[in-house]
Amino acid sequence: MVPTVRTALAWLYGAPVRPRSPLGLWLPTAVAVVALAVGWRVTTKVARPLLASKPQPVLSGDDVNGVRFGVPEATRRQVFADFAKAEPQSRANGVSSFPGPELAWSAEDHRGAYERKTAAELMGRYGLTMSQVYLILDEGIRGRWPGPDGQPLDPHTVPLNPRRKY
Amino acid sequence: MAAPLPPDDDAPRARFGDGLFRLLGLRLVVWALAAQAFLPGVLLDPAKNVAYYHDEHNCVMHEEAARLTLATFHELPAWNPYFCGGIAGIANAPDASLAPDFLLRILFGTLEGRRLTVLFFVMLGMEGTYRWARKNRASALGAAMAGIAFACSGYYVELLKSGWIFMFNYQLVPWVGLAFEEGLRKRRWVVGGGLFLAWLVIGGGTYVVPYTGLALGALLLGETVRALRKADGPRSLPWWRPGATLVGMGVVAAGVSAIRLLPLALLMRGHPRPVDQRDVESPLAVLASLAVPRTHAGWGAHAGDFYVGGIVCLLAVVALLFADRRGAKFFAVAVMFAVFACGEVDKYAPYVFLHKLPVFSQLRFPVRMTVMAALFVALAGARGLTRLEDALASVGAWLVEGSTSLGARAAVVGKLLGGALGVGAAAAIALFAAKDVISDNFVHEGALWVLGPPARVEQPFRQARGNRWDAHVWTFANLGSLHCFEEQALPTSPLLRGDLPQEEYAAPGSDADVERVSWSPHRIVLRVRARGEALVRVNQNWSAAWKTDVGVVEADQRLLAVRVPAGEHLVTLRHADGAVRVGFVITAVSLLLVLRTAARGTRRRLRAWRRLHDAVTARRGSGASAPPRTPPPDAA
Repeated sequence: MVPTVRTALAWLYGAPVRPRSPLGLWLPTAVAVVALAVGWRVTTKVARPLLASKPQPVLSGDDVNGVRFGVPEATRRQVFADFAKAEPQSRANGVSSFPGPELAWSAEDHRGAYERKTAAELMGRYGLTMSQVYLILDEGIRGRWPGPDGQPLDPHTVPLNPRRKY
Repeated sequence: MAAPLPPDDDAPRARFGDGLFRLLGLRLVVWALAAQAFLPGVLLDPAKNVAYYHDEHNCVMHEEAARLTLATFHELPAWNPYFCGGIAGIANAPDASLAPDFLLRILFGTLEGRRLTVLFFVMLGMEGTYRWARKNRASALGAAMAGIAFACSGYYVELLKSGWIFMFNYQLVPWVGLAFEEGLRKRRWVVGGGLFLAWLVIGGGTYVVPYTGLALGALLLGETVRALRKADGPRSLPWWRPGATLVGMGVVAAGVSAIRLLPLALLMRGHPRPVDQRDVESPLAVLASLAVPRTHAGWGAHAGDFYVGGIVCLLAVVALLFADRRGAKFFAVAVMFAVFACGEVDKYAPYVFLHKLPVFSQLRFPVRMTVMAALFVALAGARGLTRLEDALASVGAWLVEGSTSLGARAAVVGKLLGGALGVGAAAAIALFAAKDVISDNFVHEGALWVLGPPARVEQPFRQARGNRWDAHVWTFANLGSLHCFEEQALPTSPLLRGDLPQEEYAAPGSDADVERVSWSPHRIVLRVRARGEALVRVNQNWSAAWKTDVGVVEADQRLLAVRVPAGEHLVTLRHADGAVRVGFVITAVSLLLVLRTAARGTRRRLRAWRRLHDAVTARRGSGASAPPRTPPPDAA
């Protein structure tokens, strides 16, 4: 018994222990396997909330009785009109912050940042999700819906040309 | 070949409790519980929510595009048509689509997979730092404290705020350091280190690989000097061994990561990052970012940004006070990174010269090097705690021996009680230090992932004008966002547009009907009825990798186009990137060689286990007592 206690103590102290019997060989192996199983169980328990999440929302792109992306056409038209109304000012802000042709991409990028603010505002105003408001913007651009000036929004963007400083 | 040398450095010291931590399962429990305390927001916030910051949206977009390409279209994501009208995929610096951890995004979805990746990397970082500290003779408690301190340090919270999950592979750096030091004497670790380095390269991010290279350079210098000075006496390595180990790791890493390394190198060469900014950080701010918690933000600028624990920093100093060689080594590397992190604080600052080197010249924000300083401070702290633990155990043993009348047993009892005292005190300090780091850095519930999940829309792929600030929305709706941002001026066409009734069409002046037959990111099949030679435009950027089986691919103001002869054709456009293909072959061959090495090693270990089993069984059968562990003095 004494050698067993001594062996166990040596093991606890982290000293290398050479097995002297089949039990001495298999017991540490069994302990390691059981510990590993417990470790795995605890880890999966920690991760479980992530694996039990709700399914992602799915929107229909088809127009069914005037409803698309879960939004009636009248509301979609109104949301697009609000986007279109805000765009000239967003463009002007972009150009004033980044003037000149060499900063055209930066000005366009800035316009996008203002558009993002408009999108957040419209989400709150109409009780829509971010996906819905952007899908409506895309529908309006693609459908060439007229803006306040009667013209469709520019479907282009400026070719990528990032700044050297941030 | 493994060197025929005895184990390196000073003899390991037995400490009560060190054996328990040998159980990987027990360590897993500790890491999981520490990660749970550090990441409540990551684990408990709705898994499909996204954070508000636009970089998170950009990362989600890239990852979802790669996931769709791999899982839905079963193609290698060499091309990403979902952003900028089509840009490089695998070659793009932040791409992590071929990294082992990307499997979590494929299996569980991009949004849940990203959170699981965080948990995975945090636990992996704890284990790697623990092992590296243990390799440097830290006690189990000191090593566990270092693991938790580094893996839960402040920079990871900043990364989460920005959505830069791919940069969590800083948690692999301790594995690389461990592999280098083990690889000095064991060849299999050279291969292992190469694999971890390859993971860093494949895993995305521009900063972690050069930073790791710097750390390895510092370690190489230290080991080479020790070898030249024969500091380890008869156990000293030949002077060339550290260099050879590093070269070996580099070769394995280059081979395994070739599928990304080749296209990435070509892209960086063709389109270097435009960097023209002066980065300066005060040394006090760097120190505060490491050692001062956020709760005391008034004590210094950037307090808490890289917080690795005030107690851990103190313990690193304790290691120096004990004149601990390994502690000093780690401390020196930490200081090196802290000095670099100050950037161009002076015209002769080391970073000024570093910034002129290839690769480093394309990096900004040297303050990010503080994360490396945090790792080495944590490792030095592990040595400091170990020294305290050993000192307390010795003092305890000395006191017991001197104050009892147990005779010969006094030494044993003294060692046991002294050991218990040392472990008890070290456990209390380690727990306090870990709590300090976690309680200051932990990710609050409901703080980051505040935006609802983006909706999926089943529809044919097409380009939208988009908006890069909310880039994630478009990919889930199977739309590309033309409005985009990348660090490099990747070529994009002014002809791209987001209002087309169909994405493939005859160019003005061409008389043809074009119909899409099938579409995937790397293969577009079109039915073209041309009433004369015609130019067919595809609403994506041109790339030299696009090939056609009918006619010729052309760049129409950098827009992808194909010139076809008159008649009816079934035109197949394929994106076949030569660098990715060559890289794929090199990676496949390298992985096969690595697998062969691993299989040999496994067979060898199984044989050793069987031999041990047979010896133990035979001894039991013969009733013989166990052989002595060392030969008797007269054996010679």
